[in-house]
Amino acid sequence: MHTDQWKQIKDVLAEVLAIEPEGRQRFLDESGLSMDVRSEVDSLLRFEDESADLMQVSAVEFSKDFVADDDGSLSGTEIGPYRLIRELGHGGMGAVFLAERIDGKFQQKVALKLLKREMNTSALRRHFEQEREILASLEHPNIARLLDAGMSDDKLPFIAMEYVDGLPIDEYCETRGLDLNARLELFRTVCSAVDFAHRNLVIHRDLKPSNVLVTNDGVPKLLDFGISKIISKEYADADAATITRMGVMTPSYASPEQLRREGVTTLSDVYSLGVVLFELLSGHRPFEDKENDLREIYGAIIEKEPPSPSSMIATGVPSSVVMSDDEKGPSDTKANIGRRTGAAQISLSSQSVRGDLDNIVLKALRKEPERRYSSAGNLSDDIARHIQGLTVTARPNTFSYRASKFVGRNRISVVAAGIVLLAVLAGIATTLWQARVAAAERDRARQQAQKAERINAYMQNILNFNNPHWLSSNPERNLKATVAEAMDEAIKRIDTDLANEPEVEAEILFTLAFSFNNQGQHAKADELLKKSIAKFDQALGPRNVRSMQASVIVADILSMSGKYQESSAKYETAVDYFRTKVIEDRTQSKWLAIAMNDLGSIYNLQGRYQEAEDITQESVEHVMNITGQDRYAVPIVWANLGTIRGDRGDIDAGIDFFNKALNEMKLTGGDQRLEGAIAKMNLGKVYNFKGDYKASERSFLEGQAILEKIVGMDNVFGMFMMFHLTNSYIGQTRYDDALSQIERIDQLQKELFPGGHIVSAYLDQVRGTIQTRTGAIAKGEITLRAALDGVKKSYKDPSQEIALVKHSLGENLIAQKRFDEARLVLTEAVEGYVKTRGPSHPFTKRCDEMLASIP
Amino acid sequence: MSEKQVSEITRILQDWNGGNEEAKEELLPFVYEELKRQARYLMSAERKDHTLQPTALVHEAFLRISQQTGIDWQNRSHFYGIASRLMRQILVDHARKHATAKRGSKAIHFSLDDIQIPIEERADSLLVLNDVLDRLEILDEQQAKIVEMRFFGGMNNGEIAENLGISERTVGREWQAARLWLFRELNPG
Repeated sequence: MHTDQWKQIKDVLAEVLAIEPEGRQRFLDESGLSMDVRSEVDSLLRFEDESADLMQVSAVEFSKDFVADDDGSLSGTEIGPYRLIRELGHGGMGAVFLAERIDGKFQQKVALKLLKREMNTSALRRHFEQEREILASLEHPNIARLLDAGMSDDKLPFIAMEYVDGLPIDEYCETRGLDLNARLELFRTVCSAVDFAHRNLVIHRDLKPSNVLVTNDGVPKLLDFGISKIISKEYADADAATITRMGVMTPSYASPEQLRREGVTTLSDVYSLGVVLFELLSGHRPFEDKENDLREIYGAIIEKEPPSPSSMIATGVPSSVVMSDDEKGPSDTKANIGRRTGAAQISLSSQSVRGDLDNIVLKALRKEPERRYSSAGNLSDDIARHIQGLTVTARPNTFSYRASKFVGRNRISVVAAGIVLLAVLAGIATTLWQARVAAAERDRARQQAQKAERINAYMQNILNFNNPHWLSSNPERNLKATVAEAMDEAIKRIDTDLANEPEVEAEILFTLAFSFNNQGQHAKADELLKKSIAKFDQALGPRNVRSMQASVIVADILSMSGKYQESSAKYETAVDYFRTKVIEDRTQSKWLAIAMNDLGSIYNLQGRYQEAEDITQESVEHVMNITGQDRYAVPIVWANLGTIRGDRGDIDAGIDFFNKALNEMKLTGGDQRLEGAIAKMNLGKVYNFKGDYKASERSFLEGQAILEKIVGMDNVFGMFMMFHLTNSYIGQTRYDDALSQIERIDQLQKELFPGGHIVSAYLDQVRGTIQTRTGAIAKGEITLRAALDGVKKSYKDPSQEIALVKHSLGENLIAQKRFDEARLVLTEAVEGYVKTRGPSHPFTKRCDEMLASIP
Repeated sequence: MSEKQVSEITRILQDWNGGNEEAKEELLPFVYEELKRQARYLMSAERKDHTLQPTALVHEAFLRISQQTGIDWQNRSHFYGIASRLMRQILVDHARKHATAKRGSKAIHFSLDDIQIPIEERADSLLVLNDVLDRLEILDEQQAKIVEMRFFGGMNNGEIAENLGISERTVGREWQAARLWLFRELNPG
């Protein structure tokens, strides 16, 4: 009968059954039915009465007796040429039975895998079929062989595999009391089988001890490619189905990517091998204590750093707390004979596992597949190296790994920690205003907050993980040392830690550079910045915004080291770059302003006052474009204009700019920050020019108080603050105070600048002046001539510094009544002053007066 | 049911609600296990009340699954449809073990009277019915489903209609025709 015929028949039946029996014959006669249909209808109608009570009872009721006393076993059932003996285990899709051949061809026990009846859908049949193909392709002494495949009488597909009469590898190791090396060798054999499968483009995906049976002869055999995957496009469709079937995986051995339902690769098997090795070495699984709660175990595998196996030997919960069979659920297949029953008696010592083996296991267990061994073979090789006493490739976990985990787990607290960290760094090293601009810039420009977090986390790591002591009740002084050590340590590791993340590395180097810079470790900062620039160039291409920004800081370092020529060249390049850049990106205004402002300061130091004033003035224009929180930069530029005016002898205008700047700073709290201290210092200098030493002393001391509060005095800013204060004391003839300052400064500059700094020439200048004025005149001359040599090394005429030293030397020569020489020197000094500071500067005037006083 | 399974079921149900039809297939082993568990309990000797309805079984299985997963599952009727199919498979599996391989020797009505006949004969009958239903499925898939839901799922015409998205009247008509055909096929000669 055909479907369409049946349709016609049932329609007729519906009509005819609605009619009283006596009218039916006539109705059918008149319907013009074909012979076939008519006879079929007649045949069926005969059963109308008899069939009335068909299925009055439910199937359940009907079957209850034979369901109730049934244990659900299929034992004894014949499947193809096999008879099932007993169930070995069952999984989501099917069950595995011990079976024997009944066709008498040969006596053989097999492991027969049968697709469950309710799983007998086309998709799952395809899947089952796939497993058969996979097995057929894997002929390896350590992989259970495919023997046969077929279909049962009631169309259930089956696979007959080599029956492995053995113990799960973990049980085997325990019951045989295998020592460390024997375990490792056994495990390496397993690796070779997995590697073989991988090279045949097959991923196992469910490696666990119960899938690795070891025979009496000690031969491990890999079982159950039930959820394995063939790495090929051809299987993409089938694979989609298997991926959604991930639920059947045993979570304890599953890799993070498997639990996240992401791409499963050969490296997922490497992870699972790592868990197996972990267990063989320690008797525990890494997250054993989480296994009772599905959410916890998922969370732990995905996010939590595993403990080292050796630590579990010492501290792990007893392995008798393994899950019961019931908890293992349907996914736990075929522990072939005797299941895992009791506590593993761990005979290995924690010491023998600590170190290399810990590292090896943990490398296999990395969350990110790319950080694991690149193959099961490599894992095996590393173990071999350990056995032979060679250096293994596995290293303890790196910062970045832990950092990213830390971020993942504690998203909020990391941000908080990041803030704390910044505060700490600020407390130790302060922030240059450039540094803060850079930080703010980074936060904004960096669209991925993640990168910021990564950097923060990395920094956090440097401090936290590496130095458990730094948060102890340690005196503050150690804090600095410890943090500095931590940073040194970070620098040593950063290339390895962040090898694949040049941009993140560049950012961190940048940040570290600021920190070192602000601690006065300019050489180190310089080195890091240059590296940072190289990394930025690598990540973003040449002449990118970030490397140009970094080069501005490099220029700043150069200027602080007194290398004004190189510094100004770098600033000029940056100014050119940012002049163009601001047209398309106004947020770069601050960097243009910084570069111009700094360049102005250098021009000022170089005596190029007009250029200095011009570019600083221009900087003011750009700084006005800065919006939001970066507006704090505005008064800084004003203060710099004040410095330039003051240097040019426009004392009142200079003081006005400073007052304006300092008032503005109060609005943003900048008066209590570094820029406030520097403004106080530079204002003090102007008072010194003016000869108002009381006012200058007050200003310097205020500046010093700020510095002490935020960064202390042992840095380049403190050094200059003290230097200028020395001049206040000299002006007030408080030579003892001045001399003790000089001693402090001298000591500090030797610490900060072991390679020498221009300030030593300045110190000779003030020291010589004091000598002159305190009667040590001959000594004073020597000192001042040394100062002159010093400044001449750094400056070319015309130079205010050379003029100043000549000015002091002239005073000394007058005291020695060597008037001709004095006249000559002072004439040069006046010339120098006029050219650099201008004719109306107080220094020019005082020098000119001194010259005139020579009899 | 272990917590792992519960959470797995939750996920599958969510997938299904989200429109992933493949999820249905994934659900099968869980529902199957649950039904089997329920069946064993309901049919166990300790239970005095032997008037069993598959719907009760299915309802209870459904309740357990939905309570454990805390899910407000929209596809109830889908579930019952699946459950009927699974009940059939469960019962057939059981029957297979008690069957004698001498099939169809006696007329079977699957009526209350038939409950008195020996287990082996009933098992045979159920297997015959299974084969006959397979044939009906080829002939008329919808009718086979109706029979399955009615007999194995214990669903009434209204529930079946809702599940298949057809009218109750149609269900009645289809059942009438199927009944005749089944009876004839079950009792050859």
